[in-house]
Amino acid sequence: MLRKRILIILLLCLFASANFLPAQESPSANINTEFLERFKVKPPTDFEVRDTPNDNGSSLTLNWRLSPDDNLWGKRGLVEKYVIGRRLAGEEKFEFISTATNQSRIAFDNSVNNKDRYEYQLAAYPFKYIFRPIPWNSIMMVKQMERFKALAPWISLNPHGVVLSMLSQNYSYYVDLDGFRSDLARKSVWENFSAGTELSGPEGITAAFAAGQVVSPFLPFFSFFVQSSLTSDPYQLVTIGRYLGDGLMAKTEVAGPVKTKKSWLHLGRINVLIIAVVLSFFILYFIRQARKGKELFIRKIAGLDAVEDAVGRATEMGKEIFFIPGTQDMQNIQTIAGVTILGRVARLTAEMDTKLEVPVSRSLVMVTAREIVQEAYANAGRPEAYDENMVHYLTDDQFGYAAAIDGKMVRQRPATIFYMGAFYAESLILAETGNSIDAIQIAGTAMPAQLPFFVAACDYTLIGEELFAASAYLSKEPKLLGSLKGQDIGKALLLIALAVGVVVQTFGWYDFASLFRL
Amino acid sequence: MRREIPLIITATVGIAYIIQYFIPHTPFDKVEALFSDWLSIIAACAIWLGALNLLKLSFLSVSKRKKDWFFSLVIIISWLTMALVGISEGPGFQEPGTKFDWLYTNIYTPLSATMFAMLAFYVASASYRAFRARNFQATLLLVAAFLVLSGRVLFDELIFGFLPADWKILSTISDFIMQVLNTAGQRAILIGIALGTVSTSLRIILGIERSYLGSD
Amino acid sequence: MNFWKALLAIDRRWIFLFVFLALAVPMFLNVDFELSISREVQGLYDALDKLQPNSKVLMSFDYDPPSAPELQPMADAIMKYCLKKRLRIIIMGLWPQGPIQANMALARAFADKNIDQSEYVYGIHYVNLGYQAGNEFVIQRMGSSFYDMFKNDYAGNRYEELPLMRGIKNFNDIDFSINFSAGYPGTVEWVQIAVDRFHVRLGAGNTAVQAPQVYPYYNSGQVVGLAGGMRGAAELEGIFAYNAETDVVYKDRGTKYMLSQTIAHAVVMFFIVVGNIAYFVIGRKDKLKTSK
Repeated sequence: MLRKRILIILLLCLFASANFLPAQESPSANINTEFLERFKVKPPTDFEVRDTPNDNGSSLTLNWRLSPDDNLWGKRGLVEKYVIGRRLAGEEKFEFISTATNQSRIAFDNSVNNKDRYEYQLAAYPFKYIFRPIPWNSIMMVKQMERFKALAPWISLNPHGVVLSMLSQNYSYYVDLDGFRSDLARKSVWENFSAGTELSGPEGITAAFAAGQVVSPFLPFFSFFVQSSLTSDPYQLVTIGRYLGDGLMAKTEVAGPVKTKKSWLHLGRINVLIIAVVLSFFILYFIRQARKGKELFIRKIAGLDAVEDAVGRATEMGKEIFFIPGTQDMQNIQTIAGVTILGRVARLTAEMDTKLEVPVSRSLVMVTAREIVQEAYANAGRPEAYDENMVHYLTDDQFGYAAAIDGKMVRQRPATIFYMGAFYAESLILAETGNSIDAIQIAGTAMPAQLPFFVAACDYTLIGEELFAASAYLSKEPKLLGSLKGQDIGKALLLIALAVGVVVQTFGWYDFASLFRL
Repeated sequence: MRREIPLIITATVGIAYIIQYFIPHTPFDKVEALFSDWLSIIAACAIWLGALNLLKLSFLSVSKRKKDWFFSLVIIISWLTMALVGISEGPGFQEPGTKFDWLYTNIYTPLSATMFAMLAFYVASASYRAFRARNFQATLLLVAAFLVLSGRVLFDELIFGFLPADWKILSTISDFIMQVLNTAGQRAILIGIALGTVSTSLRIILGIERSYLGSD
Repeated sequence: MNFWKALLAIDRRWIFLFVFLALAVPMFLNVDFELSISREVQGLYDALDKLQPNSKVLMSFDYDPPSAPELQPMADAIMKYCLKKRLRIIIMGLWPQGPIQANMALARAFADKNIDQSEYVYGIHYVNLGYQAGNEFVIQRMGSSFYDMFKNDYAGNRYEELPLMRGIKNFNDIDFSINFSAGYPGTVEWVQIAVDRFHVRLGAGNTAVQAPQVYPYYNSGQVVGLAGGMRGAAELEGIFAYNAETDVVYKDRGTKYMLSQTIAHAVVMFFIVVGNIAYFVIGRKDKLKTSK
């Protein structure tokens, strides 16, 4: 009986002592801390928040200096992004509002109102890993399996295990970390995207660090294997990366509280206001001068002088005139300039009894052009000669429009063609086809890229501002000619500013360009 | 009032647009978005004006057997085909695999690309006609055209391939002409265009220019 | 003499024929060449290379089929690169046909045997938000909220149902933007609004005609990289092919068409020279006749 009791006591003591034996220290636990300490990022500095100026009180500007660990190692540093948190003044918890990419020093919060006061905190968020896809022939591998190549970039680590963020629905997976196995059942992609699939326990990462230690103590790499359940082939090395620490954010001090302000005047656009006022003053001044009867010299514009001759040519040949007011809609100023010239041309065709056709690309342009042509015919005393089908819609499509007009040109063979407005790539197609039927062509556009095509293919071309001057030039109205003069004075002032600016900037005396910056 | 109302509308909207550019305070900050929405609505409704006008003229041309009425028939058939196929497919009519997408990919796309491709031929014939060394300026233009034509393709690699990789003579000259000389010329034209735009806009807003309304 | 006069008055269809042969014949040849890479295209590549996997890239397809020969090869190459690099792709268009061109680029990328379509799930790895009318106002509104402009995607799915779009409110949540542009609205509007007002990082692919307008924006740093015209497309394919660490085929139509373009340019230059020779010969003979 005594022997039995001693045996039981001994067994109990053995059992108790087993529980009090110090746990075998995992060599990997130290590696864990060491890795985390080595790759902990430093927070950004000089973080400040202020009201975004010149707005309607709905934006705050956040500025900071980069974290010292941003772009530390060549192309990629340790900081993946900056995370911005915000709270109302007086509250405790910060809510995540947005992120800024690494290398950014500024962000805007456009979801504020001008009633509340806000506080912000910025954090540098480190990379959990860096992927360097390794060409397969440089990896020491046990055996290659085609279908696993694509898995490489989708695997990441955190201190709690391995996260597989992308899985095909067709396979189930096993992750083998140097002897540690975890069977993962088939998961849907949606689950993996939102939550990740993790190995439980710290053993996963511990085993990975143990494997990583073999490669290099200075630049640790980890490696692990994935095996498909569909085959019995052994392991496949899927990625080699560098573990840089957990997603531990390095936070700044709290900035704020800040309240936004609504601005009554956009101070950043004062220079535009001044230029607009000066220009408008000169335009209105010379309009007034012209109304008083002062003679204003306007240089000859060959293209506009040829308009009447071109219409006369069509009349003599008994052929029609095409007027093409561009391919853009009425909100484009070139289209407005084009239809303004249409009014003058329509008056001439009404007086000379020449057939006019205006194929348009936009419905609103059709409506406007009809009004203009009808009015022109009425003013010329020929209202009965007007037919609303003179102005007709073809298509909004750029090349459909060009094809339709090309077909009309080749079949109807107009004697005169006007191109007045905004054109894109169809300009040369139209002009060359017009050239092939020996029509006289007068073009005018403010699209710099299309001007060379018109110059090469047309008889006369109005370049840029000549298109806008056409209305004044053709009508010879004093108030319109006065505006041309005012515009030219504005140009003279700009030329002086350009000359002064070139000299001043060349010698670095003053940042003259900043006066014109928006 | 037939003239005055459009002038008042033009002046009001023009001035509102100018003011909202300089005053960010509510309610001026909403002006631009509001007007752009209105413009989108008007333009979307207005497209029917044009489309129905096109159909009307095409039907008239076909019914009266006017000259070239066959082309009007093509317009009617194409218009109706695309419209009816699109409507019958429902909201996802543009998705790959639909009949509309088939028409788009196999008919519209090749036709559009063909029209654009014609530019290559027209550029050649226009260049042949236009690039003649008639005077000093024309000769300068001719030389510049040659340098740009040769710098934008493989002449550096094919002709001067024996030179070190950094010696891209033709490309460098072509880039200089395009990025410096051409940009300078374009900027000069753009300055003139900007001034012309301001002047024309001011005339229209103040009602000095009224020809777009049909009156002098 | 008649020969030179006939040459000056040559029927343009002869010129068309030679240009056609210059464009068509090289398409049947298989000539490989190494293009030198311009700094603009290098800038675009460097910006893409810096992006980490899972970075969000916004691609705006602002062109239509006529401009596709120049822009589609660029779009194809960039799409392949982004998919292979596991970047998350958000597609939109300010031109109606733009999203359709984007689908074509996706289809071409997935047709590469080294890109497995089954690994990319729509709504998670890429999204096509479709076309939105409004031109530059769309860009402006996107500065505060993408949802305001794109309540549904191209196929009618609601914005909030797309996992990729859940975390994206406005441009602040986008890591990089690329714009493929053939005109208006296009790169100029993206620079003026998205870059200047919302500080978006922008790369651009433009047609050869539009590229000169965009160079000043590249020189000022507002556009981080630029591929212009067919040459830009070929350079982009070349730089991806050179730096790729996978077997994806990047050298495609852009590279192939460069040879055609080269020979076509040579033909145009030949005709210009011939035309000038004829012009001078006739001019000299006319002067001689007059002096006699």
